[in-house]
Amino acid sequence: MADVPSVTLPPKSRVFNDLASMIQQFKLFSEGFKAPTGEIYCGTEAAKGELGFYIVSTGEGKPYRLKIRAPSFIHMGAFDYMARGYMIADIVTIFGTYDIVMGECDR
Amino acid sequence: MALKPVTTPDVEAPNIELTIDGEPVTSKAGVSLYDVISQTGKIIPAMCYHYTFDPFGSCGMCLVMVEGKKAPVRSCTAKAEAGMVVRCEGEDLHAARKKAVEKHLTIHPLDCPVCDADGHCELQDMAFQHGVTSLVNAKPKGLPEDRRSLVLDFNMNRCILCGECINICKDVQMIDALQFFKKEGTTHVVAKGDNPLVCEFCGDCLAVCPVGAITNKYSKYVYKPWQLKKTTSTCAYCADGCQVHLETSGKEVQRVTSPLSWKNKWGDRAETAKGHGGLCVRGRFGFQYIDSKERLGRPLVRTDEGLVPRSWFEALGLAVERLAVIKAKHGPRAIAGLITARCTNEELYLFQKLMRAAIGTNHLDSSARYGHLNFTRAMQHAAGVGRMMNGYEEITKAKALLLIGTDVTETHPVTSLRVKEGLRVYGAKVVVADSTLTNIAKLASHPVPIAAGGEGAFIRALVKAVVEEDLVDEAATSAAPEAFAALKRAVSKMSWEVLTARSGATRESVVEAARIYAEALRAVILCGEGVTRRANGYANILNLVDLAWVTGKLTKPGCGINALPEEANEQGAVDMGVAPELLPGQASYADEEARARFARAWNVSLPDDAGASLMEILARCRRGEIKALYLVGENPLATLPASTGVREALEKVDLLICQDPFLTETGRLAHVVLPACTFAEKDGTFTDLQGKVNRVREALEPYEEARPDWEIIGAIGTALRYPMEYESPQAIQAEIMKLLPGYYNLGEPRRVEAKPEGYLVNHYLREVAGRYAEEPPAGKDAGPFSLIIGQVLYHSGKLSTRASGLIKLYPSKGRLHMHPSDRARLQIGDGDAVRVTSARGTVELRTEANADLAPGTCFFPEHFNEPAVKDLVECRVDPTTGVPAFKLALVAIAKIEAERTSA
Repeated sequence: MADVPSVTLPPKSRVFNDLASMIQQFKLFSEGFKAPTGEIYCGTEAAKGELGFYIVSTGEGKPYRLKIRAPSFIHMGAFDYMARGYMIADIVTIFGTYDIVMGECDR
Repeated sequence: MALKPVTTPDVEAPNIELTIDGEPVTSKAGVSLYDVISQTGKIIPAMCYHYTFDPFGSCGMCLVMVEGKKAPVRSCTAKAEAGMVVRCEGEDLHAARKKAVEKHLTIHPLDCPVCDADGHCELQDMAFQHGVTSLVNAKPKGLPEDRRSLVLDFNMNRCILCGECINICKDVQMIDALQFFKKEGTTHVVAKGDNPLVCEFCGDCLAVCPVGAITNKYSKYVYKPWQLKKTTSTCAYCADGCQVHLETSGKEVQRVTSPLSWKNKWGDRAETAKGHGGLCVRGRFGFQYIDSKERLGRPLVRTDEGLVPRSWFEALGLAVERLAVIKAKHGPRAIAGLITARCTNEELYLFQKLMRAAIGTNHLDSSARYGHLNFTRAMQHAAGVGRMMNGYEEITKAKALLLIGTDVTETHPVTSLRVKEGLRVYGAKVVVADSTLTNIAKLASHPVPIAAGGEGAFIRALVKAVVEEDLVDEAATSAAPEAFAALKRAVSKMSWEVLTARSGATRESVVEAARIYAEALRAVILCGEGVTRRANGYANILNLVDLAWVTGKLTKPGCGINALPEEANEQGAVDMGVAPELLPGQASYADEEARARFARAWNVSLPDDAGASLMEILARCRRGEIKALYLVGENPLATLPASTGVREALEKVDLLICQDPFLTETGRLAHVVLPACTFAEKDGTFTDLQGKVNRVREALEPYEEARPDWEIIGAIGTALRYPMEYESPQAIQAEIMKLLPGYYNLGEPRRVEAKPEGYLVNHYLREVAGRYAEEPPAGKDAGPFSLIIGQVLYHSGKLSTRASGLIKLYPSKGRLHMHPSDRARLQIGDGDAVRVTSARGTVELRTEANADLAPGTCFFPEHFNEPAVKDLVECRVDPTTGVPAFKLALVAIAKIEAERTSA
């Protein structure tokens, strides 16, 4: 593991015996690591399309803003065109044809 | 004082130039290098530094490289010198600081999981920040915890010996209760002499402790800091207006913390002159009443079986119905109301609106009547300023401070810090005139012992000294020559013999005090209950106006006259017009035009009579003229002496509505008792003694069925068919803002200019002679001892007696404080009871020695009525302001011989 104590966790075995490691573990879990101030978007080519994370940091342990760009949510937009004119009972089949994960659409 | 703090340098010191991280910086010579660096906005870690006291230099974290020196230097104890080239960052410095943290950590115990400071600990922050990951040869100290103190535990294993607690106690509080102490091979922080801690328990040491070495007994092991909801509010005890952080979990207040803490150590000392940021024992440890089990959870209604719980609907319905019947039958003037000045401005405003607009009576009053109105009325009359003339900053920076009749460290502990800072940092001359050797008198440069109740005579003697010693300011007196001539005539009639006998001060000490006051560039008068709560309190203040006027200090910036109000919002009560003679904004009720303005705004016609104030209301209750009394948070039965006939008054009325968080003595007599919220459960504002409006914020849900006062007052008004439906205190605020533009100048108190010209020309000549006339002799309750009933540090009114944390520190002992020499003379031991007799009756109780009292005086805390010592006192009412004075009596004390056991 990288030797960056402000980001990486100490070995568990040391946490219970060494004060410095305990503090390190404690600080990382109670406050989170401090990301530098700024914003970043990073997308990856996932199985269903582009999966991206947009994070704004104000230098705190928690992000100021976090936006997940999930592919299935974008694909949902096509549903209107694909389903119009069909029967309600066909919806399940239409979804099945392009395999949307509903968990990603809940945003 | 080794190094001058950067914000208060020697004015004469030359300016120097130095370079910090490549930037040129200008500073005064002789100040701490750390201060110079932090003024540029750079923050260097330092665990032992706090801006409130001088650099100490024990933690070894504030290392910087100075060109020409081989090793890093501690910047806090280094002196800034001309031409220095300083570097604050770099790998080498980071490594050196890391080493310093490791040094502290190797002897630190592995108890973060059980430590109260866990997550709020500077040592943890530093270790993490500097990337300390492993320690070799960790050797914790393994010492037992010191649990001897009543409120604080000292765990010396965790201590990093930064000395912040000791320094703040010594420098800022000037109490000096803590010290370093060597024992068992290590250095400990202990109370002086390794004894159990005996101090004022302000808890500032707890606040500045960067680790968990000092912990709060009342909240130990019960929380982790991040589990608590933190609400910033204003303390409801005294009028200092301290900001408190109420830290709550669910329905309980777990602890109270202050803005003063190790977390904000990089402040500007000039900023703290406006407010210390710390708290006193009441604010920090007296929060338990908020979620006390004694709280009223449901409305009570009197039935044949006594007071029984009922629903709000029923209780409020009954109260309103009976109010309406009384109003219809006897007219609105048969209804009166009293409110406590612990309510918010919005509630006070709403209360007087309810009484005047919804009910139509001008019989209303607040607890500002117990003294503060003497001050505001007199100042309003003479100078056009109905409040304290100086803020904290002016008190701190005054060259001379005249403290008369105020035990300021007990009644207003945080204001007293301003006086202490004046003494310590700004070298003020402080004159303290009090019969008791108060804590501030022990520190003062010029303590002047006076007789109990001699404050009025002392003020008159000061005026006489100023006139006779020619300390007058020509410019001020020549502007009103007739007034000055009248004053001269009046003071010449007083003889020094009578004045010194009455005041108890020698002529020399009076002249010296007058000289200090008159010759100072900025001179501030602070007075307290010893001046405003006396029978001639109104005249006392006018005499102080004379003193300030003839010495040219009335209109001068940085000078002024101030009286400290007791309760949190007494100034607000006056400003909101909760007195029959006042309208909101301190407009006179007799002023037709002002009254018409409010009548228009409220869409009613206002009662045109002068109305009755507190004592007159009680008298009218006794005479059967007032049939209904609405009390909000007031408990006159426990406050006023029996001789005022308060019990008869309360028993006589047909309807007594009592609205309070607790079932008080008065509440037990009531027909309807409505449970109200404490300050922690409602929103609003308090106006502090400087006239600054501070926010009060809701930290908790109301206790059981209790409701905030504004909601109850509004509901009563609406039920009486006067529209008083407000969604929130903000809606009331909006209304106040329309009527009193500029009142909510949150932040800075408005600077008020004294305008004495009209007073000196119009009223002065008629009044002055009477004010310097001989006081009538003390009256019929003559006895050799002066009984003083007053406040103690640990309590405020009766409310604090419900806080278990304060009761633990100062329980109701039922003991009369006496000087040891008096006790020896009367051969009174600890176990002996005495009989205290005045013209009003006799009380038997035990005594305790208090060497700070003057011989011939005795003291009983006003917060307790066990036994009812207050009933010994004759109540005198000020003819101008109607303020009752009931804090001083002459009594005889006799030892009760031990009863014979045989029968």
